[in-house]
Amino acid sequence: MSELVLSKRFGKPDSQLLATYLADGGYEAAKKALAMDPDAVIEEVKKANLRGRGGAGFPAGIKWSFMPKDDGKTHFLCVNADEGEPGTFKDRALMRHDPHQLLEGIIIGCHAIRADYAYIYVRGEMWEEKAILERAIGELREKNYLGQGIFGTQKNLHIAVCTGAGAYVCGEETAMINSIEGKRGEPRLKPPFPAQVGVFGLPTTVNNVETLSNIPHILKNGGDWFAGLGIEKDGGTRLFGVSGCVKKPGLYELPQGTNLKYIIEEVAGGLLDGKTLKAVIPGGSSCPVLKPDEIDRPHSYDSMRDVGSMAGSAGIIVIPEDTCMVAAMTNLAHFYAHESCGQCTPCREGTHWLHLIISRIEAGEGEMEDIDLLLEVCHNMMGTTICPLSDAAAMPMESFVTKFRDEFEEHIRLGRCPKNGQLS
Amino acid sequence: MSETVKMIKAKFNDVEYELPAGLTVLQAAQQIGVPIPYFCWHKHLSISGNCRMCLVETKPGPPKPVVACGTPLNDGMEVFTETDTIKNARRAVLQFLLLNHPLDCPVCDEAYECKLQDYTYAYGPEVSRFVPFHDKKRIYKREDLGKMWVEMNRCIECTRCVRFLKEVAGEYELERMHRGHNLKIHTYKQAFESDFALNAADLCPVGALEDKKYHFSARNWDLIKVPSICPSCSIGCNIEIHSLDGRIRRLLPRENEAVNACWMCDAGRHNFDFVADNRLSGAQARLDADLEAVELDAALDFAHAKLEEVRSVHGGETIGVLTSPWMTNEELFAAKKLGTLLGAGKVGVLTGYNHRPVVPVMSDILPKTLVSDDKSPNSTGARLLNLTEGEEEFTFAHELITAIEDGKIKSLILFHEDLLVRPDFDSTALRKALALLDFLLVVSTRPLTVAAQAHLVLPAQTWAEKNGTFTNHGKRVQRIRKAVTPAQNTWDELSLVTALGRRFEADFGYETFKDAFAAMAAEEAAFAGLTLKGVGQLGTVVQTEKPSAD
Repeated sequence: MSELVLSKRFGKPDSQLLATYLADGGYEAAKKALAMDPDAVIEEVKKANLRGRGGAGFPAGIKWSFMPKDDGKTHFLCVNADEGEPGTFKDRALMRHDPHQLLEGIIIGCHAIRADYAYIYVRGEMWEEKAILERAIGELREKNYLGQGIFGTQKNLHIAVCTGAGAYVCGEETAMINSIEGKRGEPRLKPPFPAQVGVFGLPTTVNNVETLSNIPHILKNGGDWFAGLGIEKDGGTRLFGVSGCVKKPGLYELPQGTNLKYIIEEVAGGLLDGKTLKAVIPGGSSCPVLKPDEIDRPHSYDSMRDVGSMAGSAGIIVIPEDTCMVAAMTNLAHFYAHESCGQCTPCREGTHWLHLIISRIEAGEGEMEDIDLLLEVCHNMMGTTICPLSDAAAMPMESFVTKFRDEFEEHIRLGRCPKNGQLS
Repeated sequence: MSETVKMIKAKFNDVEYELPAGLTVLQAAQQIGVPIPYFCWHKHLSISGNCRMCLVETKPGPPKPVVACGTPLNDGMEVFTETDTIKNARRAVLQFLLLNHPLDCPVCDEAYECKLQDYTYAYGPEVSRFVPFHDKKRIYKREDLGKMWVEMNRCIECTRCVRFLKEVAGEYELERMHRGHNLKIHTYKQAFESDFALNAADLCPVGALEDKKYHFSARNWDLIKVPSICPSCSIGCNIEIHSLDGRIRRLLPRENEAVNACWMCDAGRHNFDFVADNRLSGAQARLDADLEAVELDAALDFAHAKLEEVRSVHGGETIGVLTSPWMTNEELFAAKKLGTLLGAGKVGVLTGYNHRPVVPVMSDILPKTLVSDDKSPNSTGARLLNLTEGEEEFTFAHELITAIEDGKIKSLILFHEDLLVRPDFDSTALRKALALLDFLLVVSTRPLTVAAQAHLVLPAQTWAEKNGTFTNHGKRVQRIRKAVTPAQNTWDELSLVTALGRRFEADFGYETFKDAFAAMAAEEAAFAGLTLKGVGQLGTVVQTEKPSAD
């Protein structure tokens, strides 16, 4: 296995403590960055080809460069720790095992975008991680690594941890901004983008936990080193969360672009009990599903897009042969119907309608026309809403129906679920 | 040199237009007449962009449709509103909305004014995908929110009502509850407290919020709509009177950016029952001991005889004329003329006493007041016609009792005001004083307590039954129009006053409202040079040196 960057201290004793982190050369990168010009920091990150780890894969350096310069306004950095995508569990581990790596990334990020304040928006259910982060922030305040004039420079920085109430949609950056402001957690219409009008109407950048956790390593070892870890236009390593029917489910740090088949069969030890593979969701539940013949390719943003799916948040869900795909999709459809904020018409009505239709197919009461109706509804939901939740509900549904149409038809023909509604 | 607006060029469906910079795609399309359907957008509310009906394709732009309401129009932009993608997206949005929308248009108050109905005909799917056997529509009970019914079944969650109350009325009463397809709009409490809540019902593009007073009282396409002015306070909100079969069914705000934008208060909106109910009909004269019905001619003869008697015995200066700020400018003008003709010692006006607290509209978008503490529509008109005595006004009215007791007033012509029930008069003293009068003529639309002591009662007409102009608190002269057939055996004050004048062989030179208006514009300094054309639909502000009393 290759060199560990992000997860080097995972599982080590006292990995959450500042002392451990400092002994490992911690906060040297922050000191180095603070001595640099903010634009030079952004350049270094651009050179590293670091792409956002939240799911969309937008280059982090370019995102930072959208922030206005010398506009006299207060800037904010919001850290998206509202990890709610089914199948994803990387940010939670990063916060739990190595909070200082994240905090150092935040300090550097705030320097680059000239922000004096940062919010860490932790998902409501992750109260343990919230406590860990707050303790770490307390340690930094004591050493004056946070507050007024940090590290003896002119830089001021305050970090606050806040939580939502567990709504999935609050992981969307503008919904998260609304939630931080104390409003209903629902996405805002763009433009204006957060870099112009963000938290409390001020310029804001929103970054994922894993993205920021990479920043100290880029500053410490240089952008070129980081770019070299990954593949072209896609630098660094990535935390792959493998779940489902594999021998060794878990979180694995591997270089960007590691072969998906290799991850499942070698890293995660292959399927449990000698079962054969039926399908893989490569990047969290919002990504279209892949069939076994499509997975022998690098797991990267571009490569997954080429095969009609997405790298997403790299939460790999492995589905074995004996799983009822209709039951699995019913589960997901229920999730999206429950989590739609209800703002946009296509998503509010569409997610619920999809759930209604697929539920009746799963219950054996569907008609053959329902399959095409599912596809039509999916088509109508895509690309027509404020945020991508509508697409996130429609894309997996569309792929499930097209790739496993025979199972849907079987449900309708039999008038019941062949697996009696069991997932496997 | 005025500020020049930068012009940009943009193409809509391959046709190039020159447009001022700074518009959104939707606003630009409205200016040039390219139809783009929308539910949630409203020019006085923030852009929400959630109905997804106004989707268009733009070049340069993202590879997916964007909302026209929230996309700024840039120089050189190409907008496409009728591509297959857009047509399909609109059809899809309508299909999604109709999924749970009850098809109860036959019993819905909004039918004919419903955006959903219109757009479904224009852009919608031809067939319903609703499968009665499998699908159940989302069903809510109708709820009572005080002034309105809320039919959540019909709601399309455009959030116009929520945004109106927050942004314009500044009252946080409505919010979206729950999420996803369970989203519903409700008040935090049970009933509305806002005095502007019914504007939300106007904004509702479907029939989810319904004015209780209008509920089931007419079908919208049957209504006769006449532009007018709200008579309930001195703001003079521009309204439309909607009537059917000679009865007013509702008042709706009419757009006038200078006065009320497109809002009005609920109290004013519901204040029209007095037009139909409890009206005086036919003249009544006290020929002997009791009031008895007489013909108008006989009544006017009686008034003439009585007034001549008072004049010859006590002199014209003992005649008092007390007008009302509920009269139009022309009527006040004519009443003042009548006073001059009779040589009346006192001609005055009595303004409203109903001092309800002023409700400011707390909004950055609309920093205006929609409700005034002066509950009459035309006190400014009376002021401009010099019916008040300086700034310390209405002294005549408040010295009335003393004046009668001292014998300075022996005869009174009283318009509309029920003095005996007003808290600013001592009713016992007034009743005694009125008994001393030789002649009391009451002109009113409804039976007044004070009429018990009158010698002659003449039935007048309400604001909805006649033409005229009111002057609002900002000195804006605005037209009211006859909207319903007048109640039987009633006459507007202008014709009563001129007819009475003719009995004294005086020709006022006008009988109709138009002539009276022209005469007023010629004779009164405050209204000099005013024309009805100039007043137009939106009114015009009169320029005057006299400082406003506001």
